[in-house]
Amino acid sequence: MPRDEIEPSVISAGRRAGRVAVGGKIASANRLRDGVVVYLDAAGGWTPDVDKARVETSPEGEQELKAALDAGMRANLVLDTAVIDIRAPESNGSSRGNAPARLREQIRAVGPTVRPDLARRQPL
Amino acid sequence: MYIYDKFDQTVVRERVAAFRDQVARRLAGELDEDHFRPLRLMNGLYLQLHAYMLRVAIPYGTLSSAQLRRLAYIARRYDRGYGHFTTRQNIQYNWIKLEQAPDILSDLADVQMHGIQTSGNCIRNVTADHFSGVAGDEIDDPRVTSEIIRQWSTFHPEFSFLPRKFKVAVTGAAQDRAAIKYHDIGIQIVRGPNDEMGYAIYAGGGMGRTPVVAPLIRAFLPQAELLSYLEAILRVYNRYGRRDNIFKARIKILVRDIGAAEFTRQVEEEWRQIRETGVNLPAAEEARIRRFFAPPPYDSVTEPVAALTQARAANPGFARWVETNVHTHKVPGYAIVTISLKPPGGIPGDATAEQMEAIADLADRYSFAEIRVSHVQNLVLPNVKQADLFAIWQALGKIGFADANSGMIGDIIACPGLDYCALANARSIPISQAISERFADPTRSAEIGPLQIKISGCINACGHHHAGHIGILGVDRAGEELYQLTLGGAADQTAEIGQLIGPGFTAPDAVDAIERIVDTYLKLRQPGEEFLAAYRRIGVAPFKEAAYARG
Amino acid sequence: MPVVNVATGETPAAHADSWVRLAEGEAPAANAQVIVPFARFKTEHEQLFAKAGAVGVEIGGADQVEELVPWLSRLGLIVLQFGVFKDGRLFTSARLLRERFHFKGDLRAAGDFLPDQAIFMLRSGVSSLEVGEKFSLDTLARVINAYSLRYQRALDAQPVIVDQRLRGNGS
Repeated sequence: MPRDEIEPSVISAGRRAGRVAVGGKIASANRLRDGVVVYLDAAGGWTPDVDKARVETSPEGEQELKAALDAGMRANLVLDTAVIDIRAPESNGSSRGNAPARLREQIRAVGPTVRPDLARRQPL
Repeated sequence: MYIYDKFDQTVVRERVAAFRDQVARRLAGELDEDHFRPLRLMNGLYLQLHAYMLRVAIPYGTLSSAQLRRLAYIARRYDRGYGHFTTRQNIQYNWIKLEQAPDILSDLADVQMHGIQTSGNCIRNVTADHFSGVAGDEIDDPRVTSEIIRQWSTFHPEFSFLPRKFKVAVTGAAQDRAAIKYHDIGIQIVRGPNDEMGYAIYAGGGMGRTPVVAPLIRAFLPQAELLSYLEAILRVYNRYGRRDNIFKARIKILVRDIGAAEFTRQVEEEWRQIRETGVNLPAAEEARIRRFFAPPPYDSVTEPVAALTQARAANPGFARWVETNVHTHKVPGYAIVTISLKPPGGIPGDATAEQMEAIADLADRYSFAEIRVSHVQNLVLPNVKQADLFAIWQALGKIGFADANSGMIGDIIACPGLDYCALANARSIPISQAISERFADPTRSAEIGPLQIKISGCINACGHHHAGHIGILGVDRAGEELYQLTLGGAADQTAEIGQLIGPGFTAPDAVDAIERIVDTYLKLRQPGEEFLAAYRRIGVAPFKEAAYARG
Repeated sequence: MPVVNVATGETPAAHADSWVRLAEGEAPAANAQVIVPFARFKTEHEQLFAKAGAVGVEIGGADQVEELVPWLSRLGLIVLQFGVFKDGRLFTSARLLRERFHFKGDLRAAGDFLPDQAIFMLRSGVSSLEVGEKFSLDTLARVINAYSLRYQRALDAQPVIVDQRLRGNGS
């Protein structure tokens, strides 16, 4: 991979979570059969596209996400489940979509930062 | 190299069938994840950030060209066209589907390969000197010992549910190229008082949160008694290793807590009771295994080899590569080649299917069809004629693996880090790329000389940063990736754990700090003095001061 | 709970358990086959041997089997209680009981374990399994017969690869 195709910002300091406003929660998991990273969508299904994830902003909504994750595990559809933070829209640097707050979750949503050729989508 | 007989092959085939059954039960919901996880781990299948990751065992880092071609096929057919060679001489694939894993294991079994015990709380792949069998300083080929241990440890009924993972490494020479003192058991082949063959046994070494250099447990163990002694160590560990806290469950904690002397006493007491119970390998079987490691049919070649001398004189780039990447072979006219998988700006240890196939072709043509994987994440052609070195170098240039950086500052060990690994706190590959680019100039690299940089993306230390001359540990502080530097680590027989020099740096600052450290070394070194020796002579102070001096 | 006897080459079948676990403080019925935890056995063994028809002891991973040696010839059953299926200490306990201390009674695994561990149990000297309702005998039969060879030598009847090789049966 030619070095000049990797942006310098790839090794700049990750954003401090403390300065990131959290805009809601989404449910993330890996699909059992193929290990693909998926998110609970509005229809109750599992999508690899983080932008299609169902966003909840209330404690009750977060409980519903957890319940859906548990149900997905019991149904042997997903594993390694977690409810994760996404940024508030004004903080995510992009006018569309759901940007996970933590770098780890950003990488899970997009792909390895060192292999943009394998990215599932544009960097968040 | 070792070739399976019908028994070895049956073991692997039966394992594939059993795993296929386990996967089917998991997908049908008969097995829940808590109970399935240890079963899939014992076949090397992890769940990582992006997908399942399969770790394929490469026993003591030895591969045939046919096996390497199969690894390329797996990468192409089931993954994204590449694999990653690891610090335990294995290969990892990052994009595996659970439902395809049984087929992958079956395809591997076709070439006598598997993922058995590359994960889980069991005895892992035995690693060994990547120059085994061809190094001039070797007392005995550690691969014979390693193969004996491999068979004994495979599906061991008593030791498949240990408190934690268990790693063994073997060196056949006093020069330790296998980092044995950082393993749960480290084995050094030595000669006894009557010149008989045997082993020095170290136990309780490790990396991770609490790095430890293993103490010597027994100075001389007769060769024939190896398996009973290992059983005794494993049994003491299995009984008394902690099971209440996974961060305190390795054997190094047990040895530290009860002391090496008491640990040795318990092992020797257990050993006394079992050494005559038939655990040891019969001499006939040892001889049978040893025959597979007989030397290949070398030609008789006199040195110096004119073709090599002339090529070096005519081509400075080639000459530089010979200086760094070609090592003395015990047979005149031959050489050992390190294939650097560390192109500047590249991902350490990664190879595409095409690159693997090209290397398999080179092995067929020039190295008796054999390749080695080193724990430094490079590949080795162990049996190359000096007359063929120039052609090999040119061929490696075509696939991007001809960098003259073996053992040099650009030969960085880096774990996959947060780009791939679910355990990581920070990325390790981008900082590795930045460092290798900063020091890419071959003249500068040669001027700096041997310098081992090792990077881990979390405290589990899979990048062996504790043993780096310069070690780098990635941490997460309030959502920011920071990099702590350690200095003065060593992985060989002079094993030492690196010293943390201070607070962490951002990635760009860490690269600058490393450059200042290197410049300090260049300024203070004595003629011909390598980095580690200079550091040991001078001490940490000037390096620390330089690291934290800002422009 | 049902009990399954396991042995090399045999198809596992379940039968009712003739042994009874005594509750804390409960006295054994005369001539009954009773199981008590190790701690209780250590203090009450003489009374138990006197009253019960047969005595069995339940041990956990932390228990030291050496302490049972004085009574091994009088025990009909030892239960290896898996609190967590990952507790590999009980495999060592099984091997020591069989190979070093020559226990001849029934050596039974109980608690949280997987059918897939049964082959390791069998090879460590276990002779029966206490299984829950959801335990699949079909799976157990498949697992026990899935591996025809072993690398390691031990005292059970499983074919050992090195012995096969020495007899010239290889390749």
